[in-house]
Amino acid sequence: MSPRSECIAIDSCPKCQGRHRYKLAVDRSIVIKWLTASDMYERARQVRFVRLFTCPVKKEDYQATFYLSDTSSDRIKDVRVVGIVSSDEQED
Amino acid sequence: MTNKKIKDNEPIVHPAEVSDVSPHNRALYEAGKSLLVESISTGREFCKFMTGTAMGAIPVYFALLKFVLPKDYVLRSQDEFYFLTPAVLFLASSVIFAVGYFPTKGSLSLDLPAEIERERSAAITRRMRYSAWGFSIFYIGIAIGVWITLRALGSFGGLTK
Repeated sequence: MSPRSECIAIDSCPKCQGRHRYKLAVDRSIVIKWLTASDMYERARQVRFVRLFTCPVKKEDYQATFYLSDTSSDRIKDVRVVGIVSSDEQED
Repeated sequence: MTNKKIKDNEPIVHPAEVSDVSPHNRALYEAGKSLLVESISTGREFCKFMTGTAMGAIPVYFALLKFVLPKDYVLRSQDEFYFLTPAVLFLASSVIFAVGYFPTKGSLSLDLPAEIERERSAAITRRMRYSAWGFSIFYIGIAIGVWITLRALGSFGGLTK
């Protein structure tokens, strides 16, 4: 299954103080299983990720910690930073 | 990084924390970068080193045999096969390592990271396969060589008077 794309919004870049958006490729494994009563009330788990991003203005790396939610039937296997979507400077 | 168009239905994630890269993560990043870059040359250097080592094992083996066997020992036809097996295995493994070291043709575009990744993985997998085969044969050769040498030592009493 191909990774689903999601987007991360960095409101204040530690390098240039600008706003950037990056595309993430979230690889999830879909588990097919019988639905039980407890699954109906299952709370989504918050999975912590730390990824490195490159500031498009200063061309320097910084890190961001973010949380993605998954469930027992929709486990996150991997999250990759695909590339920059937009930044303040590019939109102007 | 390349610019990507955002789709309307894409969920937007907001980070919990944004900071400079921590020294630990920077060190890990550098380690990962060197692993990624050097993984091709590691396989190539191993094949290169083992080609010479496997070839060099042949005279070492014969020198050991010469030391162990009596001076007036004459090889019979069935002994030839028996004594030559390790040397043939060393030669075969050396050839396999040389084939692994042999350059291959491929084309890639630096604009397409997926293509670079594919070529890189293909080169590593190919060298890994040849290295594994070559080393297995070399290892069998060493095992048989040691066994033959010890057996000869026991039969002809090379170390005892």
